Amino acid sequence: MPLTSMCDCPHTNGAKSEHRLARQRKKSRISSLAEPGEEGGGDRSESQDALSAAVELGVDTSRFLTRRYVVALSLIGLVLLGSHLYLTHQLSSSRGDAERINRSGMQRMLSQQIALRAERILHAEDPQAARTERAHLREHITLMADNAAFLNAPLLDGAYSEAVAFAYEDAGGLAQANDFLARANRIANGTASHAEIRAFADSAAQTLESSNAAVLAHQGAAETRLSTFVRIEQGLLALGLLVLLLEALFIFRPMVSLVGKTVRSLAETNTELEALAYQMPHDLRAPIASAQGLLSAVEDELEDAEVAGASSLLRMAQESMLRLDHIVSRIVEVVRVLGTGNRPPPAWVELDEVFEQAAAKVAHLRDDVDVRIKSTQLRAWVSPSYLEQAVDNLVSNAIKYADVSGGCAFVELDTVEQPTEFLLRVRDNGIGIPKTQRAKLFGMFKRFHPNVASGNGLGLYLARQSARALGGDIFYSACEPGSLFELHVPKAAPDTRPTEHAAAQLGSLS
Amino acid sequence: MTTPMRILVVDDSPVDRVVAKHVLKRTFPGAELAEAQDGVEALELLDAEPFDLILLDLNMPRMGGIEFLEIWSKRANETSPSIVVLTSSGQGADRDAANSFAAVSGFLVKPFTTASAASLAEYAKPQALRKVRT
Repeated sequence: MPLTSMCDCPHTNGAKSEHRLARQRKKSRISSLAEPGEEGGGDRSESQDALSAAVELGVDTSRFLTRRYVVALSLIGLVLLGSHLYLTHQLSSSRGDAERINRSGMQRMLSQQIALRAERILHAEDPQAARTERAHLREHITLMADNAAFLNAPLLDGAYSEAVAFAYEDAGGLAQANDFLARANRIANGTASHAEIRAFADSAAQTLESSNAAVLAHQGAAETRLSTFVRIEQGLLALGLLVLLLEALFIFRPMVSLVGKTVRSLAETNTELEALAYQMPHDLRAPIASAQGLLSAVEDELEDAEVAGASSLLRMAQESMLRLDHIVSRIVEVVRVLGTGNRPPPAWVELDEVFEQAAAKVAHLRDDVDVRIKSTQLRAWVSPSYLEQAVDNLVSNAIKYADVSGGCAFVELDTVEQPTEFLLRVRDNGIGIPKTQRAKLFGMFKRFHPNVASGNGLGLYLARQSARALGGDIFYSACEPGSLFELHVPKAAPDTRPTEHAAAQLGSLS
Repeated sequence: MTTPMRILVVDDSPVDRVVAKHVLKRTFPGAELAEAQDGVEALELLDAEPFDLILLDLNMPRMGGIEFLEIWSKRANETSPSIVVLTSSGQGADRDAANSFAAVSGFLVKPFTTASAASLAEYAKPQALRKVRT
């Protein structure tokens, strides 16, 4: 098989790939959607499994996005609700401010009106004028008493601010008001002496001062409440903006990123499927057309009685049919790897044995290649068939393209254990991949050295798809001489891999 | 003495080259046949030797037929050989792509047989066919 494949950008930096691997794994799951089915009765099942996987992926993404939206909107809702509750509370507590300021101002005005009425009673020219003034005085007193009852109620409930309470209580405002009303009542009732009326009228300036203090106290309390309200509203606004910023950073940005990646992944998958749809008819038809041409040539030879020539051409036709059979088999493998339903279960796999078996499978191809397996005795908890599919293709390619011209063709196989993954390395001393061709290295039906070895150009594609089915990937790097392929196989999480003993028990049960 | 007609078969499949040579020998007896397995080898041969007709596959590694045509079209002149595309792909896109080059005079879909090769006479230039007749 031709050294094929290609990766988008060959590199050996495994650390960078974990994020990409997850995406590629999902991509592979989607890719299976439009792949042709397996032979016979497997078609419908494979197709349904692929469809189910795609639907599952869509549902997962939808759930993820929905959860993020719910969290984001809930946070915004909480901020709005908090702001509303606080605003309602403030409006409720401020509802009487205007009336209190108005009534306290009215008290100030009434205190002066009452003093003025007292002055007029004192200087009334006749009893009728005095009675009239007393009637007005009583009206003022009634209104002032009503206002006092309104303004004093919160004082009794302790609902006033400290400044207002001080004006009424500590500064003597309340006592003064009560005394003022009592004296005014005596004047209105005609029981006050002339001297008392005189003293009452003269005390108007003092009453004005305490009334002023009460008005200013109410006004100050309202302004203080308003400024506090403004500050807290600013705080809520800042909190809301902060929440939006945090959501943008930690919710919306990851969501946009996820959507973008999903779209790119779908676009890549679509491109891959289009390429497959374009290329597959050609590669399937090529061996058929060759066989048809050969059989036509056989007919010509037989007409000329050239039996030997006809026989030779028939053998070639047979080889073309074998080639077609091989291509179809590999396409079936592609479908199996890309299919997501009924994934083979994981098991403990001896990595040395995987290399040994892969080399043994292609040992008949060449006997001039020194296959060197460095034993590491490492075990991985993976799906064996996917791992074998990937390793078989890499080892097969390496052996086919190992270069004996330097005197010793070799292939080196070893495994490196890293904290989160195993690195299975396949190196050969072959002719490598030209720089300009590396971008296509892992593509379908890609062949780079058809004159060196035969193949259908699916080997490296299959290897990479298998690696991705394991949650890993394959990367190529050129080395002198030859090529190095690194198969990244992530380790299973400790809580998902049983001990070997437990795995054996599970195996016996199944 | 007239030089024989020279035909270059460009195809990455050894089997298809065998078939092509078989058919061409029967269709154009006496013609000289050469083969290349991709566009790169074809350009090298065309630089070194004159040809009257080129049978060109499209899907080849290293340099495919369309890429070859893009390069060859810049060099071709009136005396350049006729080019007949011979491919296993009958897709319209391939046919359109190939026919967009003036150097391409014909498009055949495999399998290549003595029957389908008869149409090559329509595509080859008159002087090339005269070589065959002599």
